[in-house]
Amino acid sequence: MKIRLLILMFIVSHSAFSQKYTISGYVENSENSEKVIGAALFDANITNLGTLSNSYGYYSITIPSKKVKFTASQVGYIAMQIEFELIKDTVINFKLLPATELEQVEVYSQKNVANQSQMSAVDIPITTIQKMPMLLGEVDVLKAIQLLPGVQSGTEGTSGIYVRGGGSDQNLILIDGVPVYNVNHLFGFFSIFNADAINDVTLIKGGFPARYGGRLSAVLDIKMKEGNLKKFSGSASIGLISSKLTFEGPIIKDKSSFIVSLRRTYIDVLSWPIQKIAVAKNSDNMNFKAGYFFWDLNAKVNYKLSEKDRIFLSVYTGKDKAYSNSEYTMTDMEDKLTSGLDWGNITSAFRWNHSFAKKMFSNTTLTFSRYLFNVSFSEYYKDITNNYSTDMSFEYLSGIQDVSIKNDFDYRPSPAHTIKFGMNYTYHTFTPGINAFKVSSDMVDEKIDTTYGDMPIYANEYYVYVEDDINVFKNLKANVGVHYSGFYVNNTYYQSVQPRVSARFLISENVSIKAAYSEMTQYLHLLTNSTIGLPTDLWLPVTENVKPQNSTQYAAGIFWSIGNKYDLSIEGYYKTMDNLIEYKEGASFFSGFDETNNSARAWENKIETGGKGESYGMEVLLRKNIGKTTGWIGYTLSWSTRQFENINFGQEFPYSYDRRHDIGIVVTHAFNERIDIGATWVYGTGNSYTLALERYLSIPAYDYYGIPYPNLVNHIGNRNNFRMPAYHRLDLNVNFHKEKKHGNRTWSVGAYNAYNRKNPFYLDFGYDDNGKRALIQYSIFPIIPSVSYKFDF
Amino acid sequence: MKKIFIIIFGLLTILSCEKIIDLEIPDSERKIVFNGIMNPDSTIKIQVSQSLGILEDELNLKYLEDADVTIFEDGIEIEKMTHTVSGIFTSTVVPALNKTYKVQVENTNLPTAEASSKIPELVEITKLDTITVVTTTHDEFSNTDYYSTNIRFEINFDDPESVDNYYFVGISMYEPIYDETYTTIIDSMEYFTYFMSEDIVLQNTESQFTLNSISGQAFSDEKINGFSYKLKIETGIPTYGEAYFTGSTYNVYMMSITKDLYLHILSYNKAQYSSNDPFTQPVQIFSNITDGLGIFSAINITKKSVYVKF
Repeated sequence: MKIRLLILMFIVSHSAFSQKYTISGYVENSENSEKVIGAALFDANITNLGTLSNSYGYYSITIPSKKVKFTASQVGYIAMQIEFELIKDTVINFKLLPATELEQVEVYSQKNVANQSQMSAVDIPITTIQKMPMLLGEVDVLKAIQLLPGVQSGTEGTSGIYVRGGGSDQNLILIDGVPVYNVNHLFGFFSIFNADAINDVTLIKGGFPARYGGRLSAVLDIKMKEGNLKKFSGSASIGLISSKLTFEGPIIKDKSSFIVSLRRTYIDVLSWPIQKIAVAKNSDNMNFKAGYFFWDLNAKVNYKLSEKDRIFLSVYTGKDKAYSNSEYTMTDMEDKLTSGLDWGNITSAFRWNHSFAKKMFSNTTLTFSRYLFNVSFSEYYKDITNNYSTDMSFEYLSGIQDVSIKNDFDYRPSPAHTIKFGMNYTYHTFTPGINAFKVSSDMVDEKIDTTYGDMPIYANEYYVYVEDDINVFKNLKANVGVHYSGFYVNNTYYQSVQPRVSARFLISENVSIKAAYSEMTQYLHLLTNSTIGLPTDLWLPVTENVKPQNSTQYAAGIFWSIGNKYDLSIEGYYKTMDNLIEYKEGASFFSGFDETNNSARAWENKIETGGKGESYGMEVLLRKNIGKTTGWIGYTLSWSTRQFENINFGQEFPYSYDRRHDIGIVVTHAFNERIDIGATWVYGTGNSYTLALERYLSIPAYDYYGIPYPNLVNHIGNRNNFRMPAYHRLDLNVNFHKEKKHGNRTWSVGAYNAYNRKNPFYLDFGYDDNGKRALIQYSIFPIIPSVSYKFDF
Repeated sequence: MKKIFIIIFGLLTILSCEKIIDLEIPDSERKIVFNGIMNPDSTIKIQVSQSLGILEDELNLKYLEDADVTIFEDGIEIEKMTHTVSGIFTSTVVPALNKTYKVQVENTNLPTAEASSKIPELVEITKLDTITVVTTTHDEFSNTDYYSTNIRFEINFDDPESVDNYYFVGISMYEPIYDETYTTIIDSMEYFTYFMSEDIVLQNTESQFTLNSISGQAFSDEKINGFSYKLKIETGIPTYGEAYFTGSTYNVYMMSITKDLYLHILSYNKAQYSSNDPFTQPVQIFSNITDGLGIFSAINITKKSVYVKF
């Protein structure tokens, strides 16, 4: 085994303790100074005491004074070890050298899946995600997450994730610690995460540590890159639907850096000339332009104030926009029409990391998050002959905005305890739907300028937490914590105490059993009735009538690190949820527009409350993270149901994403430094779907003249009574790398749905070629080849 | 905005591939269907048929003319019903108050279906008032005021306390039938008018329903239980034949209906309203037939009339 030692800093200070000393510092990538999260740091000499670096790459461990072999290890990096006499408090900043797939790297047992007390959590290396084949070659973090056991995907091609029977609103999705409310581009076919700007992706499905809260089913914690402190670098790529540019580098070498990453689709731009020709053919007097695009921007700067203080400012913003503009001009009139549909997020965070002494680390964050959905329509009409004009506009706006402050502390008094505690306060502004209507005309003096709809709702949410990762004795480790939260809205106050416990018992060095119990509370509801990721989904707060959602989850499993190359886990879980909401039968987002939605909080009249959910199942994950061939095989066996008093006549029914079997296989293989391939295969039991299977004669209907006629109606036996056909798909991708004068270029060639499986998107009744009634399945993605070019410099 | 989404949805549909899939519904799952609304003024009558597979042609609709239909009164068999035409079975039984009637339908190869119901207590209209309401609407563009004249009916009744009551209200008027010259009214025809209401008890009803040829809306006493209540509904005054058509007798029908029928009407209306809309949640139509489909229920009707001069 080859171990390299790269220590850039070695600072010694005196300790307050007589027999024990603290080793602390950061773990970084030696090539670009990105923080290495979750690295194992331990004394390989006799005591084998260890810890993990936190989300900011910081670690601290207090161990007895003696000769130590202090080691830092992380998957994908070459481990480092330093042997020295520990006689003082010591700061060691490790700079780990990334390993190539072709190198053999030893992974120490402290990092293996069997050793950690956390269960139901998966880290996916971003390098693996980048090699995986994706729809239209667009690398997508959420689509990679969908391939993990316990995670169900939404409708074909969409990025929705449904974890252990939970809804898509029950996932806490964080970008650099800031919640994001809508993760969809192009109605969910792509997610908002630009893989070029991501450093680390972690999904937690159960056994939630107390530091997380506010959602019932999952935490997806995405950390952005921080920018190369050493040198300027970047990448540019061109794909079938979008181009990306990422640029990073030092502002002050080894002290401050930045990263900017931009992505935009360009189908609209490419179509403009075609539209122009088509319009010119039909009319000389008309201009018309329509299109759709999305873009997003990630930017981050950081500055090292001192060895103990670092500050960061990060921003994510993105938008989807569909639009059409037309202009019609005649000798006697002029008519201009514009309409648009746009939605997007902006999140930003200002973060201050501070290490107190050697055992305590704090992170203070100010965050801002906003999601807006906007529909606009306007018309300007001018009658040139009579010299008058009319100007009219309509706008609909909905969204959510958060301003938060939070403080997290990481205190490591001894190797036996890693204590985390902190607090968070969030000020929410919900805009459930405001309509603005303006009209002005030369014909009348009076102008209309009116706003109506649901008024904004303001709410205060806070939480405090404390957790301790305890080495109870040699083989038993436990994470015990409590999360307390409160929510105040419209003179209504809710609070919740949520205990969290998880424990790991080592049967041998590489085999352990784990169990976890967690209670979660969620004060936000997502009102959605679409199977695709429509931007109309409304985030709403609890009210005096709509109570907070709660869940209780039990999980247990066995974890085995096989020869330090493979990780095998088998987990079982049981989860209950209550106070779920759902649209009433016959209701929809749009029904408010057509009916009596002008009263405040009309949305409350459209929903059923007090729903119950139950889910249970088993997940198997066999994973290989190192070597030429990496990937995983995941299998899920699960059941998930819902029950509402006024839906399905009060009877329990299968959840839409109740999927009995779900398989995800991901393989990436590097043949050499120039060629690597990726392949994924997914299989899932068909989604449950509500379908009338019979018709019958009802009470007679009557025509205008009062004459009765036979009245056939559809009979739906049960909600979600029908299974769509099974879903399966193979995706392939080959990457060709070549070193050029100024960097490395990569050609990627791939195929989504390589064997052209017609997977169901939705079902409807129609007629076959012989004119007979038939059930028609609509599929939207046949085999789709893709090619993209990327240049890293 | 809905149009934008329908266009997007439509585009997805156009771009997508179609595949006709086999849907297997075993014939053994067909059910007996029967519908009947009892009222204390007539004999019990039901229509019996068999459910159709969703892909079956309507021409295959089968009335179960040879079904064995039995009426039970408070658990005791009292009569076998007789088939007349098009699956309609009649009896000589006039349902009495405070008795429970069960209808059992048996047919070879189909599960036996049955349902029970009871005539609900009649709630009388205690007072009926009408008011002419003139509404002015100002049109900004033409700077013109438009007037519409409605008749408001104030229907007073005493909702019985301590029981859940369900009602159905409908209004009819008489439309004149003119002679060949269209100057003289020679006859009239009763027809049911659509009405509007902002009354709290009617806010959850989706649209009008026709029950025993009476068109109207169903409501419950959930918000008015035990009250002496004044229900307000409005209907427009006919604007044709003003010279000759100077007034009409209006009949206000108020029915007490069973909870089963109320649930059936509500779910039926929702299902009709949301059918063919991919964005709405599916609706199951309520049926109270055990091991079958349809509705067997009861009503109790009261009527008050008033002449309104236009």
